[in-house]
Formats: sequence, structure tokens, C-alpha cells
Amino acid sequence: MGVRKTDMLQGTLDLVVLKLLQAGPDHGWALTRSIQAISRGVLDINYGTMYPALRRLEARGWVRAWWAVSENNRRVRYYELTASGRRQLTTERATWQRFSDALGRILGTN
Amino acid sequence: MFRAVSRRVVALFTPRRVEQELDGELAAHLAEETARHIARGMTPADAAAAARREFGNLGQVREDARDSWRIAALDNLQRHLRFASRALMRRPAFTATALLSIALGLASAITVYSVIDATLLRPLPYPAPEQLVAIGNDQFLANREVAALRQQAQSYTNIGSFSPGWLFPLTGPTPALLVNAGKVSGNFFEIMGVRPILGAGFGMSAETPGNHRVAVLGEDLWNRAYHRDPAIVGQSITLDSRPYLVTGIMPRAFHPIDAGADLWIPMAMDPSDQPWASAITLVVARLRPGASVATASAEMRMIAPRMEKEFQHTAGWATGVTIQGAEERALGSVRPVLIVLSMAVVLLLLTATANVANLLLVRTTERRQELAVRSSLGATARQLGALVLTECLLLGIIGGVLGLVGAFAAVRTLPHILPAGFPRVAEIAISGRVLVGAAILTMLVCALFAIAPSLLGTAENVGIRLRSGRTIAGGGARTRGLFLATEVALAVVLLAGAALMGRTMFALGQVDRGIRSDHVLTMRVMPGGKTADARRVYWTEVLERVRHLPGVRSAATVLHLPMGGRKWSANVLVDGRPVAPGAAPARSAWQSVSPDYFATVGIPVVAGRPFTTADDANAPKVIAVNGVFAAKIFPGENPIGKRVSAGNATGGDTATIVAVVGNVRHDSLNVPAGAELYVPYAQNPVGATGVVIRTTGEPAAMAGVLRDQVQAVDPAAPITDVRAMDEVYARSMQRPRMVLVLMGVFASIALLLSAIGVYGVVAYGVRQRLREIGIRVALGADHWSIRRLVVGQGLGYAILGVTVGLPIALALTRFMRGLVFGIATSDALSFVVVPVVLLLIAGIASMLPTRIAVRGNPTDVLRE
Repeated sequence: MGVRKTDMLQGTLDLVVLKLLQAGPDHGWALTRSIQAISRGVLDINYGTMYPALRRLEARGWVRAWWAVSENNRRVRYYELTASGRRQLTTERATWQRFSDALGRILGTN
Repeated sequence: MFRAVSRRVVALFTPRRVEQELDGELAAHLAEETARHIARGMTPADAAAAARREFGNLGQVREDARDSWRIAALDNLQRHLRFASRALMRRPAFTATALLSIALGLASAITVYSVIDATLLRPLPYPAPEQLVAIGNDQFLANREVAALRQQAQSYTNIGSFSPGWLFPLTGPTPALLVNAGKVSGNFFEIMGVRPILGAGFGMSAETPGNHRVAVLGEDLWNRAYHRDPAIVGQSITLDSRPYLVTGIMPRAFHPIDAGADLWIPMAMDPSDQPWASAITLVVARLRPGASVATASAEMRMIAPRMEKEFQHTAGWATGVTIQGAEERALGSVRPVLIVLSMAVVLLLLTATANVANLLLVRTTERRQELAVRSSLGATARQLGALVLTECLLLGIIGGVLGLVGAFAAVRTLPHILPAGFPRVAEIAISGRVLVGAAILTMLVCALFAIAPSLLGTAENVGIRLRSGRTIAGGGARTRGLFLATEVALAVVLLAGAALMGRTMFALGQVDRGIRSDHVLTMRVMPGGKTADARRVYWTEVLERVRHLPGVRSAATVLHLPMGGRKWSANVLVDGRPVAPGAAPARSAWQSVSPDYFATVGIPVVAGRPFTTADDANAPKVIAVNGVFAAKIFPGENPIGKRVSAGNATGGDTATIVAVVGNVRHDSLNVPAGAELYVPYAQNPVGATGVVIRTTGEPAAMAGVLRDQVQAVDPAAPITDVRAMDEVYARSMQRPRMVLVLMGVFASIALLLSAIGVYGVVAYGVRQRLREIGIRVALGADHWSIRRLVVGQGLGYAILGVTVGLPIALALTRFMRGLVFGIATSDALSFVVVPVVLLLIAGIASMLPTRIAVRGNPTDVLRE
């Protein structure tokens, strides 16, 4: 527990998942591992919250899902970005960029 | 697009599948995580525990996942709905027309089906109504036949009798009331299976002569005369000047078979009665379990001939005995009306659906630009489909709700539209069943017109076609034309139905009633409990008083008013012409009238002399006969001076025919007059009597004065049915008028919808061809040739619709056979007028858009 962990900002998990799926189809467990690995353990997500998020994205039509066998030989549900998911990612990334730039400017001024 | 929507809907209502999938997924996650921990050296138990710990609250996750699914699905729906409603609001004309079409169609359908539900579909309000049967004869059955049936017939658990329509004065309450009593057997209430709301019915003992002075009141009479005083049960009331003990009160809904009554009294069962003294119109019975109308009829074919012989009935009496299920008897007469009306509303609903489909087609084609833009911005075909579908759904739902509101309003006005005596009017309501039916109907209509836009092909195709620069108007045009032709064809059928009813009403209006009903006031007066002499005095005084009032031309009395629903008949024996043994004697209706009757109601005296005051009790008995009587009984002979006896009419004596008078349609305007004879009132002062008064002014305006004058002669004599005779006739035409009004409304709506359809399609076509028209004008075509071009298109589809619609109309109007009068259902005039009217309307609707075509400078159009 050497690293200080940061809670995910409300709503950012969806963006993160969309971004991760941009690289290609993946399943829930692998996605949680990726977040851990890429953020070097800083972003602490409760693994459980991944699944409601995936359902949310699926219901909005941004991802589609199917059952397949994982590299570890388990039946898992794979998720993939849809065309509108891709567009959503672009939009949300831009929004996030604007938001973080603005925040950076505010916090950066001394 | 259907799949996308349906998947969401499925997820919304059955989250079970979603949850099972989620469980599988979560288990996979935990297994992977556990495996990872084991690979890093944990014991399996520790690994599993760690995986669970890291995962968080499993139940919470499950809950969250389910919620997020539901919220997103609802969210999507809401988004679609918001979008669709904005899109609809941007085109108010389209939206209003579509909603009006759906609402009118559904309101008509729901209203008619609420009537059908209440009358035909719901069982009669008696226990086991399918066991109830009515046994009747075209002449009559009497006590002795009931007694014989009780002894011999095996098909029934219980046999009783019912003789409705006995009018008696009820004195005690002021003013005195004329009540409609039903004479019934002791077991009648048991057979009907309805319990009194207070007290008891009477039992079999009431049939014994001497025990029969008991009465059961109907709830309405109890309200009206006794203000719901429960103490009346056990007390005595005065009916026809005789005391009757009230034993109970029957509920309002008790309306046995097809005849209501204010109260019921026992039919004293003395089999030795003269048959006419107990003339029962109806024998009611309950079938034994296992017996049916068919088996009971078979048994009756054995019993009836025995009765015919035993009771010395005229030959052929037995074949006239029929058994009818209670339901058939109560509802048989309205069934054809309701079948025709239900077919009419189905056609109307289809017309409305075709109209909306047509509007949607035009709209979708017009929106191709918008759809193509959306498509190029990345909207998928599925999303565009969902968009269009949501619009349809929204139209359907709002239209359905509007239709339901309209139906609620219409059902409330039904009691005023439906003819008097229509069965079960009080039960008509928009029940839960009708509501469910309405919802299903709405969805069906919705699904039907939602197909229309998809006929144009998928949105993606539209986009591709647009990008390739090709026109897409062509494909839709034929579909639109077909919808339009369908609409017109359906309108033809409805219009033909309405035209036939219009012709029927006209024919009924043209029927020679046999009397002049204008400026005549009628009323029914019942001076009860008087001797023959007292009645003679009473009527003389009444007529004297009335006759001398200002505004009265003449006044007279008659036994049964024409169209009054009552008629007495007698066997006619001609003096010196013996009836062959076994042959049935001739029968004739008979009337007892005061001398001025013929003059007052305008019945012409064709031959002989009218009655005079000299034809009194002491003078030789005389009668007048109508033309049918003369032709039937004295064919080729002069009936004047012939001597006949006619049972009760002539009091068993022989009377001399002194006049032949005109025929009067007594029963109904659509039933030709039968043989009828008249006796002078003074020579046969029977009880129930109608009064007819010819006035100089509006008869209804004098109703109050005349009623007061008659009342003054004897305040205890009840007066009812004070009406202008024209009103009596108008009432008798209520049924065809109701069908005409409803068919007329349905046909007008269909005509309007067709006109809108024609206009919409032609106007769209014109806008599509503005460029072409511009070129034509530029090349020198005049306005008329352009008009011909435009109108020709609309008329072409209308002609196609009429061509298809006419044979369908010919086939379907055959169901109206029982409703029309004076014409065939293939009435040539109707079938010529209807297409002409439709084509005229279509022509006018096609003319309107020509304004767009010939307006403006052709070069402007070409430059666009």
C-alpha cells in the first residue's frame, strides 16, 4: 500500500472504458486489470463498478457485447465499441480536455 | 430497427435474462481474479476471499448494473419521445390530421364495441341464462296449455308463464298512475332466478284462484309511487279498484326476456278458464341440464299436435309453437344492426389507418433530406428507423387517448341516439374489457400504419440514392397511390351503406300511413273499474269537454292507438258461410272507436257511411272494415251490408258492415296493413282507450290544457303517453334513423379522410413536378392543360378505388338486408350516386393543389 490511491471522478469510468475499448474488444476483468496497470495503480476502482458501467454503455448503444472464451479459457463477455460509441468517445474526450485545461489554468495560477 | 427497440423493451420488462448474463459475467471475473491471486502464491481459499474483497459488495453491484440498464433504456425512450414530439410539433398540419384520423376511427370503434360488449357479449343478468327459453305461439297459449306442458314436457325443470303489458290504474298515490303490470305464474321469479331486493316473490300458491291478490313491485315504481318506503311491503295497494298485498320489490335490472313491467301480479291458473281470459303471450321455462333448445323443440313437435287436438285448436296451431333461447329472443332483433355497425367501424378504422399511412409516406419522403443529413452525420439505419417508429408510436398513443376520450363522450350520448326499447341500454359503458380491446386495437392500427414508411426502403438506401443524385419519388408514388385507392374503396363501401339507409328513411317517409298524423295529439287514458255504462258516460263527457275547447277541431277515442304496440284480434265468421271443418277461420284485428275517429285522424271512408252517434247500444250492431279485410274476406264482392260476427269485437253477436275505410299501418311503417275492423265504441265500450284530438295549431302546445280537461272528468283515471302523433311516427323510425345517423357519420368521416388523402397525394405530386410543370408552361402549355395533368393524377387513383370499392360494397351491403326498407341492398340509385359523389369530392380535392402548379413564374421554378 505504498502508492496513494485516488478515487475515480464521478462519471469518468465510462470515458475510461470507452477509451480502453478503442484499442479493441475486451472483457470486464481484463478491463479492470488494464486500468490498474496503465494508471500504475493510482486509480483505484472498485472492480464491481466496472459491470454497471458496461451495462450502461451497452444500453446506450455505445458498446455491444457477446459471449466468447477468454485467453484463460473461461466463458466471458466481450465488449466492443460501436460507431456511436466511437463518436461518443471523441465528444467526451474533447469535453474532458476542455474541462481539465480550464481546471489546470485555474489551479495553476498562483 | 424493430430488433433494437424490442430488445430494449424486453430488457425493460424482463431483467431476468440480463441478470443471468450479469451473474455469469461476475462469476467469470471472480474466477479470473482468484486464478491471478493463486498464480501469485495465495492459497485458493485466500485467493477467493481477496477477489471477493476487491470486488466490493456483490449485491450492490448487481443492483447498480440492473439500475443503470433500466435508467439507460428509459432514458433512450425518453430521448426518442422528446425528439419525436418535437418533430411532430414542427409539422402541426400533418400531426393534427393524423391524430384526428386515428382519434375519429378509434372513437367510433370503441363506442360501437362498447354497445356490442354490453348487449351481445355479456350474458343476460340471470343465473345460467342459456337454460332460459321462451315458448310462444303466433296466436296464443293459455293456462290449459301451460298445465298440459307442465304435465307432459320432460325437457324442463320448471315451466311458468309471463303475460306482459296489462295496463291498470294504480290509485292511492296522487295523481293516479297507469301502471304496466305483468301477469306471471307463481314460479316465475324462481325460473328467472332473480331475488327481490326486499320481501319475497310469490310462490305457486298464488296461482290458486282466491290467493292471487298479491303483487311484487318493480324498484322504479317503488321509487316513483312510494318514495322507497320499505313499509309498503306487507301493505295493500289498489290496482284496478281491487286490493293487492305487496309481497316484495324486484331490482331495477329485472327486465325479463324483452318486456319490462312496473309490477307483477299472479296469473291465476284455472285451467277451466276461457282460453282468451288467460291469453299468455309467453311461456318461460328453464331447461333441464342436458336439454337444449333443439331437443326441447323435438319434444314439442310430439306434444303440440296432441294439444292441438285436445284443445280443439285450428289446424296448423301446433306448427306455430316455437321455442327460443332467452338470449336470442332478447337480442335477436338488434344483432343485425350491431353486425352492420361493427363492420362499418372496422371499415372506418381501416380508412383512417390508410389515411395516416399515406400521410406518413408523404412525410417520410419529404423528410428524406433530413434523414439523409442525419445519416451522413453518422446516424445508423437502426437509429433512423427508431426515430420514425417512435413518431408512429407517439401518434398512435396520443390518437388512442383522444379516441378514448371521444368514445367516453359518445357513450354518454348513446341513450339519446339509440331507439327506445333498445335492450340493455343501462349496461352500456366503457368497461375494462372494452378498454383492453381499445388498447389492442390502437396497437394494431399503430403497427399497420408504421409499416408504411418502411415500404420506402431503409433510410440507408435513401441516403445512398440521394448521394447518387437519383430521384426517390418514383418508388413511393405507387405505394401512395395504392393506399389512396384503398382509402377511396373503403369510403365507397361506407357511403353505399349510408346511402341505402338514407333511401330507407326516405321510403319510410313516403309510406302511406293510412292516416294524417299532422296536428293530432294522442294520449292514453284508463278509466278503471267502471261498468260498461259508466265508461260510456265517462267518455261522452271527456269528448264533450275536449271538443269545445278553442283550438280543437275534433276529438275521438280508439281502443288501441296506431303504432302503440298493442292490437287485439278476433276470428271472423261470415253469416251464411260455414267454416269447413279443420280449416282456420279468418282473423282480423279490431278496434273500438267513437264516431268521429275516422274524420279526426283522416282515415277515408271509401264506401258506405261513417259511424254516427245513432249507432249506440240500443241500435243494431254495425262494423266498418278496412280495404284489406274487404279484399281478403269478400274478394270480388261488395262487403257493404254483409253480416259477420267477430268474437269479442262484436260481443259474439252478428253485425252488419256499413263502411269500407282506408288501410292503416297499425304495427309499424314497414309492415303492410293487415285486415282490420272497427266497431262503434257505444256498442263495445272496452277498457283501455286512446284519445285522438285534431288541433288547429301545434298539437304539443295544447298537451297541458287537454290533459287537465281529461283529468278533471275523473282525477282517478291515469293519463299517459301524451304525444303529438307525428312524434309517435318519428319514434317508430328511430331504429333506421339511428343506423342512418351512425352510418352517415362514419361515411362522412371516411369521405373527409379520402378527400384529405387525395389532396395530400396530389399536392405532394405537384410539388415534386414543379420543374416539369415549369418546363411545360415555358413551352407554352396553358393553365387548363396543367390543371388536367394534376387533376388527372388524383382522379386516376380515385377511379381505381371506386372500381375496387363498388363490388366490395355490393357484397357487404347484403348484410343490411334486414335493415333496409322499400329498396334492394343493390339499389341502383345508391350505387350510381355514391361513385359520382366520391369522384366529385376527389376531383375537388385534386383541384385545390393546381393553384400551386399554375402559380408564379415558370422561370423562377426552373432557376431554383
